[in-house]
Amino acid sequence: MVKFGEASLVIRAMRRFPVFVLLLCFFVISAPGKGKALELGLTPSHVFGLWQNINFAFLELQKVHNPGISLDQVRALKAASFKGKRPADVFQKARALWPHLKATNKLDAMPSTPAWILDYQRLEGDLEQRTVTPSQVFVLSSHILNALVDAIAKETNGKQAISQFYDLKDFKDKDPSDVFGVVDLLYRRLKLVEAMNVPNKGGK
Amino acid sequence: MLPSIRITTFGVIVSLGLMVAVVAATALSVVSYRNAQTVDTTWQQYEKVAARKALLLSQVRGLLGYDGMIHHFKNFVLRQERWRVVSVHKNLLQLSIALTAYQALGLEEGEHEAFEALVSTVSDYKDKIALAETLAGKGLSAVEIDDAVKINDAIASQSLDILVKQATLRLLENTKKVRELVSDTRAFSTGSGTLLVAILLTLALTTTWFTYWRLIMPVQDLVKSFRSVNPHDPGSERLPFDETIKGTELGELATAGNSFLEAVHEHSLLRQRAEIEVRDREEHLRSVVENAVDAIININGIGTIISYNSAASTLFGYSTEEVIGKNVSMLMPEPYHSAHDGYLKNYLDSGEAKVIGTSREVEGCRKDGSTFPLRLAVSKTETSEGLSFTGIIRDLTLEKEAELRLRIAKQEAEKANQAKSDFLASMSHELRTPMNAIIGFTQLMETSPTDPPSERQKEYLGLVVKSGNHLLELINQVLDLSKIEAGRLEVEKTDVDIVPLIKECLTSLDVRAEKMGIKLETESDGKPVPTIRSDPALLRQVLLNLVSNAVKYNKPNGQVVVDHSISEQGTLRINVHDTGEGIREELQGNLFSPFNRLGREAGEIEGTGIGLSITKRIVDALGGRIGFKSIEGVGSDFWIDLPVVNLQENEKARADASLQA
Repeated sequence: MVKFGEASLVIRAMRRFPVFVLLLCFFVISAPGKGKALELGLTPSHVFGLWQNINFAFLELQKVHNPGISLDQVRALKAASFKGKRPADVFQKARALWPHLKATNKLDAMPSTPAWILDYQRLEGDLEQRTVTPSQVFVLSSHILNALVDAIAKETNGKQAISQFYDLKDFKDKDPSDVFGVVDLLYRRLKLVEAMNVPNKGGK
Repeated sequence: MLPSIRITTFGVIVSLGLMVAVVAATALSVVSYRNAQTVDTTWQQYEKVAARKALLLSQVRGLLGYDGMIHHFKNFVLRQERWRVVSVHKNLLQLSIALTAYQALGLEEGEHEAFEALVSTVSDYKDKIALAETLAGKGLSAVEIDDAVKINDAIASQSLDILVKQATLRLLENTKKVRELVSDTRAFSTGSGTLLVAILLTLALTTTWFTYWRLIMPVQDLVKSFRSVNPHDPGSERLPFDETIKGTELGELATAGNSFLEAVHEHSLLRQRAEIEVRDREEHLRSVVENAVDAIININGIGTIISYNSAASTLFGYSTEEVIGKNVSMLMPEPYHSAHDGYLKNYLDSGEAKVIGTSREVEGCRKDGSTFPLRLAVSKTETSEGLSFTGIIRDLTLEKEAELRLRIAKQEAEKANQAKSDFLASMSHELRTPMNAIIGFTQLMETSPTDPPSERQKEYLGLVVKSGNHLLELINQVLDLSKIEAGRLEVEKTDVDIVPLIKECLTSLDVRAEKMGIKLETESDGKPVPTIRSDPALLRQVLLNLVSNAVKYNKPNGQVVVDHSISEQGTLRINVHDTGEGIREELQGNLFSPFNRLGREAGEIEGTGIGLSITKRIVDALGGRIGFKSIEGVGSDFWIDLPVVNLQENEKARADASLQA
C-alpha cells in the first residue's frame, strides 16, 4: 500500500523535478515487458551432475554396443577447462551433440518435453525464450540421459540395473563453463568412438 | 462585508490555486497510478507464484499417483516388470525437477514441513527403487522385495493436501491484501479527489463571486455612470466609489475617471467663462463698431459685404439690409468701382498689398450718386472661416474744407507778412537817415565852437542825442528782427577762433562796465578751443548782447565772467555768468519773447526787450542752442552751444582741458 507519506514524497519530487518525473512516468508506462525464460530453480551444478551421469551412461552404452573394444582411451579423456561460457552455449553444444549421439548409438528420437513443463513455461508468458537458463539445459539433458538409459535397457533386455544412472550426485558452485566442459567431454568421447570406427554390433 | 481585493492580487491567487490544483491532480494521478501498479504487481506476483505452485502440485500428484511413479514402482516390485524401473526413474527425475521448481518459488509459512515430507518420500522411493532393482537382480521373490521396500504413501498424500490447503489460504490472504490495497487506493483517490474538487470548486465559486460582484457589477456601475454623464455638463456626475472597489484597479479607474470629469468640468466652466467673455467682447466690439464715428465695413475674400455699421449707413446713405451680401464696389465711384475686383484678385494671387496695412485717401460714392473724399484704412484677418478685410472709413469732407480754408488763410497771412517785411525793409533806410541827421547835427550843435550852446541848451541837446541813440538802437533792432523774420538773415560761415572774439567783445564793453564798477573777466585764455565754423559777425552780435545784458542788469561792483568749454554733446559751450539780481522763476518762461523786459519797463535801465529774442533767432540760424540758468538774488548764467567742425578734435580739446584742470 502506498501511504500518504510516500505520496508527499512523490509530490515534492514532482515539484522539484516535474519534467523528470513526467518522463519517468512515461517510460514506466510505455516500457515493453522483457521476455521471461524457463526457470525451474535448477542450477549449473544440477546440470553438471546430470552430465556426469550422461557420460557414465554413454560409456556403459559403449560397453554394451562394443564389448570387444577397450574404452580405456575413451574413459581417459578428461573435461577441458572453459571460461566465459553461458547456459546458451551449453544448450547449443548439447543440441549439436544430439544428432551425432543419436546416429552413432542408434538412439530413439529424443523424448518430447513433458507437457507440464511447457505449461509451466507458458505461465511465464513467453514460449519463445530469449534467454537460455540452466533449467532449460537441464530439461534437454534429462532427455539425452533418458534416451541413453532407454538404449541400455533395451540392449540389455532389462538385465542391467539402471538406477545407478539416475543417482545424481550433489555438486556445488559449478558454472556454465564447467557444464560446457563435461558436454564437450562427451562430444570428444563420441568423436573418439567414431574414430575407432568400430562396427556396430547390433544396434537398430 | 468582504474586503476589497485588487484584480491583480486576485489573479495571482487564482493562478496559484490553479497551480495547486494542477499539482494536486498530477500527484493524485501519479499516486493512483502507483497504487494501481502496486496492486497489479502484487497480484501478478502472487498469481505467478500461486499458479506455478498449483501446476507443480498438480504435476507432483500426477507423477506420484495413478499411472505415476508409485504405480510403476508397485508393478515393478509385485510383477517384476523391469522396464518399469526406467519409468520410475523418469518420473522421479521429473518429480525432482518439479519439487526443485516449487522450492525455488519460495516456501511460505506452513509449507516447509509438508514440502520436506514430500521430498523425503520421493527420496525414499529413489532409494527403494534402487534397492528393489538390486534385490530383483538377486532373484528375490516379489513378496520379499515388497516387504523390503515398503513405503508409507499416506505421508506424501497428506503433504500434498497440506500444500494445496496452504495455497488456498494464500489465495484468501492475498485476495484480502489486494482488497485492502484497492480500498486504500480508493480512499486516497476519494480523499485527494474530494480535496481537488473542493479546491476547484472554491476557485470556481470565488472566481464567479469576484467576477460578478467585484468586476461585472462595479464595471456596470461605472459604465452606467459614464453613460449618465451629461455631455453638456460633464461636471454634474461623479463615478460611484464605494468600499468594494476601494484600493482596487477599478477604484483607481473610478478615481481617474472622477479626476477626468473634474478636469472636464473645470474645462467646461473655463470654456463657459471664455464664451461669456467672447460674447461680451463681441458685444462690446459690436457696440464699439456700431457706435464708432468712423464707418466700418467688413468684406470677405471675394469682396462681399458681411458687416456694415451705423456710421457707414449714415455716411453712404445705404441701410444695412441694402448692402449686406453685395459687392463692396457699390460704395465706390469710377474708376475704383470697376477696378476693385481686379485689385482684390491681384492681391489674393500675388500677395502684393497697396492699401492693406496703410491708409490712403480715396473717394466714396453715396447712395444718391454723389462722391466725397474719405480716408480708408484696411486690415486683413484670417480666420477659420476664411479671409476677410475690414475697412475703417473716415469722411474727409469737413477736413478738406477746413484745410482749404486754412490754406487760403495762410496764403493771405504770408502775403501780409511779406508786405510787412517789405514795408520794414523799405523803411529801414527811411528811418535811419533822418535819425542819423538828428543825432549828428545835435552833436554838432553841442560842440560848435562858433556858437556854443548855453548850459541849459547843452543839457537839452544831450537829452536829444541820448534819446536819438536810443531810438536808433530800437530801430536797428526792430529792423534786425524784421529782417530775420522775413528770412533775410544772411549767414556767412567761416572758421572762427572764439577766444579773440570773446576778448574783443569784452574790450568793447569795458568802458561801460567800468562806469558801473563791473569787472569783466574771461577764463578762456590759454584753454584749448576747437575750431568752429560760424558767422563771426553774427556770433559777435550774440556775445555782445549777452555780455551787454550781463553788465546792464548787474549789481554795482559786480562781476561778469565769460568762459568756454566742451559740452557733453561735443559742442562748444560759451557761458556768460553775471552776479546780478537774477530772474524770477515765474518770468523765466517768457525771457526770449520779443518786447518782454520782465517787469523792467519802468526802470532806469534802458532796453528794447527784443535783444534776447534776436539773439535766440541768430543762434538758431547758426545751428546752435541757447539757454540759461538763473537764481534770484545770486545771478544768471547764459550759455550757447555751437557745433564744432571736427568731433575728434573736440574730444582731444576736452581731454586736454581735463588734463589741465
